[in-house]
Amino acid sequence: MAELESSGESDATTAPDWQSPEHAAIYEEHSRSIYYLALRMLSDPAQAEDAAHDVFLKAFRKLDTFRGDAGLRTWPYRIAINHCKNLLQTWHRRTMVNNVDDAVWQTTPSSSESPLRALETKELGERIQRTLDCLPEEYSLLLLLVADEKLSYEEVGELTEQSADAVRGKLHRARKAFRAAFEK
Amino acid sequence: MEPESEQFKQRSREEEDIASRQAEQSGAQPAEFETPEELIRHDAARTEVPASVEARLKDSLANEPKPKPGIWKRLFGGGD
Repeated sequence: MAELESSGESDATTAPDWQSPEHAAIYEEHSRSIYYLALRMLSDPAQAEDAAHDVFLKAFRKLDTFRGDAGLRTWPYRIAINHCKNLLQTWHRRTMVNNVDDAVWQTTPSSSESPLRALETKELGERIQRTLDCLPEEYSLLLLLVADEKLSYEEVGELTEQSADAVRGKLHRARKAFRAAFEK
Repeated sequence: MEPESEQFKQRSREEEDIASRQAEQSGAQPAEFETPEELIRHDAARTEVPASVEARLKDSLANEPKPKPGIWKRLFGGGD
C-alpha cells in the first residue's frame, strides 16, 4: 500500500538511493573535504562538482581494494589529488601564474605572527582562491591538506610524497607566501 | 590647527563610519585567523557541497554494471 502511494510522480524526480550504506557513510564523511579540495585546486565550482563526482565514483569502484587498508582516511584524498593534478596538467594552467607571482611573495617582508583579518562575506572564498592561485601548486596543496585537522603531518607527507619533516619545513614557507599574497 | 587638516580628519572619520555602517548592514563580521590553514578550515566549513554531486553520484552508481557472481555461486547457485 505504502509502495503504491509513494510511486508515481515523486519517483521520477527523486534520485535513486545509495547502493550500500558504506557508500553513504563514506560520502557523508569525505564529501565536504573532497569537494573543497577540488574547488580550490581547480578554481572552478562546475569543474569541482564534476571532479567530486568522478573521485567518489572511482573510490567506490575500488572500494574492495581499500577495505581494511590502514590508510582509509587518506585514500579519497589520494584519488582527488591525482584527479585534479591530471586535469590541471591537461589545462596547462597555473605555471604561468606561479612564475609571475613568485617574486611578489618572495620579496614581501614576513609578517608571520600577525593574524589574518578578513570580513565574513561571500567574497572571502574568492579572496582565498585568488591567494591560493598565486602560490606554487605545492604550497596550495600543503595548506589545503593541513587545514584538515584529521590529517597528521605524516599523512600529509604520504599524500604529497615527502617526509613529515619536509612538510613542516615547506609549510612554514607556504604560510609566509599565503600571508604575503592574502594581504597584497 | 589648520582648517584643511581638520577637514581631512573629518572626512576620514566620515568614510570610516560609512564603511563600518556598510559592513554592519551587509552582516559582515570581521574575523581574525592565526594561520592560513585556520582561515582555509573556516572557509571549508562554510562551503556547501552542491546537492547535485550526490544526486549524480547515486545515478551513476545505479547505472554501474553489476559485478559478476563468483565461480562457486555460478556453479552451485545463490540463495537469491
